[in-house]
Amino acid sequence: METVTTAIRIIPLEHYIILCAALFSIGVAGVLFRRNTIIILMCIELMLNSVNLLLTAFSAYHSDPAGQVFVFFIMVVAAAEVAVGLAILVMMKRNINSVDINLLNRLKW
Amino acid sequence: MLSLIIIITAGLLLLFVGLGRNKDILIPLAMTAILLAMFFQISGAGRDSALLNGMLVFDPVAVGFSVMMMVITLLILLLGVEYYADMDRNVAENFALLLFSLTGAILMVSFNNLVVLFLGIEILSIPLYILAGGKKKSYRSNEASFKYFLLGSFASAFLLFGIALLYGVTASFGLDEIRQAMPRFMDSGLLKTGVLMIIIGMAFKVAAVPFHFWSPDVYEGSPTLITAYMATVVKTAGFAAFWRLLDLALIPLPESLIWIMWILTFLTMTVSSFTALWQSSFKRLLAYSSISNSGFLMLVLLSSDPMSPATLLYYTFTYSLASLIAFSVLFSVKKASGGSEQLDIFNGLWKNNRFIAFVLAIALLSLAGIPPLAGFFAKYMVFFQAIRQDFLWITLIAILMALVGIYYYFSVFRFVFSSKGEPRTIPYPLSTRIVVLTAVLLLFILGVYPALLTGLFP
Repeated sequence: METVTTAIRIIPLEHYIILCAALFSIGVAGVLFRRNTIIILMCIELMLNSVNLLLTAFSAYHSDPAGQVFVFFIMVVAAAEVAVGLAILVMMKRNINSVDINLLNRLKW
Repeated sequence: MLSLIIIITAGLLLLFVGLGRNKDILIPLAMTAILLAMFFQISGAGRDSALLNGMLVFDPVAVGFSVMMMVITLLILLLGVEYYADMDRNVAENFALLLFSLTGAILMVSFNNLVVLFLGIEILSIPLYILAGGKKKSYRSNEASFKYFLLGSFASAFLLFGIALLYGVTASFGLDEIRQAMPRFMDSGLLKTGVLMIIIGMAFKVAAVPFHFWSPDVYEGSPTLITAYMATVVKTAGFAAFWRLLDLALIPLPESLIWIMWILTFLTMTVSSFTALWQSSFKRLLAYSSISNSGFLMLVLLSSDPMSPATLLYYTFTYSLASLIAFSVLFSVKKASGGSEQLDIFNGLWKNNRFIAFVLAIALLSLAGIPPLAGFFAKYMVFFQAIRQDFLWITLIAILMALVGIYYYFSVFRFVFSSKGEPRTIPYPLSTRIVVLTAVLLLFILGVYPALLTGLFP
């Protein structure tokens, strides 16, 4: 455990923050611009995983295990969420035979 | 804690009972569980109990909100008697998911740690994604479910990133520690970004403009009973959580973020009120009305006034009761007129069925804020509190928007009291009557004697 946290601390904290912000932004851009719903789901996973990385880095720098424990909670919740999301996708595919998000336009003001 | 365990266990039990296809005992079972949970919640309310190493605190405010949400869920379950009468398959799953979601709502109003806030939001949301897609064959329901899922998890990711940054600055997830650390890092860019992202995440969850675009679609596409649940319990939980987060940890916010909150409040009130003016579907009208009520509630969030929790509780409770009546009327009338949700299904309702027209009128009058109904006093409390905090301009705009609100609620009356529309019989079973009458009575009693609720928190 000690060696892992020291290994994490070799890289300055700013680098982790920049990397995570970049990963998060890529995820956001993917959700906003991609049209395939499966890829959108993957982008949401990317956003969540960038948070995990950030929490781990902070946790190592603060020498506080709470951040790493939270990572496990996020992983569990993300898994549950994706399970439900894929089920919804299957339901949609059965009805309209496509996973293109542009077809989600029946409800409009 | 015991009440959480009871509700979860009852949810699991319902799933097993559902295997046996004996539909009639599902609702009594669920209601007994909630009543039991309510009893334990109230009887344990006296002591200030901190659970799970202080991550969960059932203080009087948390108990007040959780009991209120249980009452609303009870009423929704009773409405379910009529709603699920024609359905034979998967009824138990619906009630079980409602109970699971209620657990998340209770966590959201009693957290004292950001981990529990996140878990509460997810436990509330994930069952709702499924419930929104309850009509498997209906494409609109599919779409609502997927949109809700997509934007819900998108918002959670923002919230999480904000929590991670806040953790990076303050080195803790506990609200007390964050509160102590906040003043030291007031100028830190990381902290500001973190709090901003938390605000964005929560604004998505409570559907504040400009993060509201999912909510009318989801409200319209979901099964009506689930929409009623979203407009009442979910909205209450969202606001209670937002208020708790701001009041226990984040206030005083940095200056720039206060401005962002004001802009959100302003946009939420104005955009939703004006969009509601040209809705032709009653369900969408109620969705926009729910967003504009979010705007009024956001006025309460920023004032760290000791009256805030009482105001929030009173407002959300009376709003929930009135919306419940509106949704139950919508459901009955919709069933009698071939599944349409347009406003013209109310044509000639007063001629056809005086009782339904009367309760709908009461609900709309309360939503519009006409005395002596409780909706009036709720709006009065919000405005009064905002003025006491010197938020003059925004309160003035809020009052104007309340007037616009009166216009679009009253436009429904044009249909209800019109002489058009052919005679028809609208089924209105006993269970629904009980719910609606309870709600109407509560609206009158609370309107005349608001101290029943507002006196709860000294």
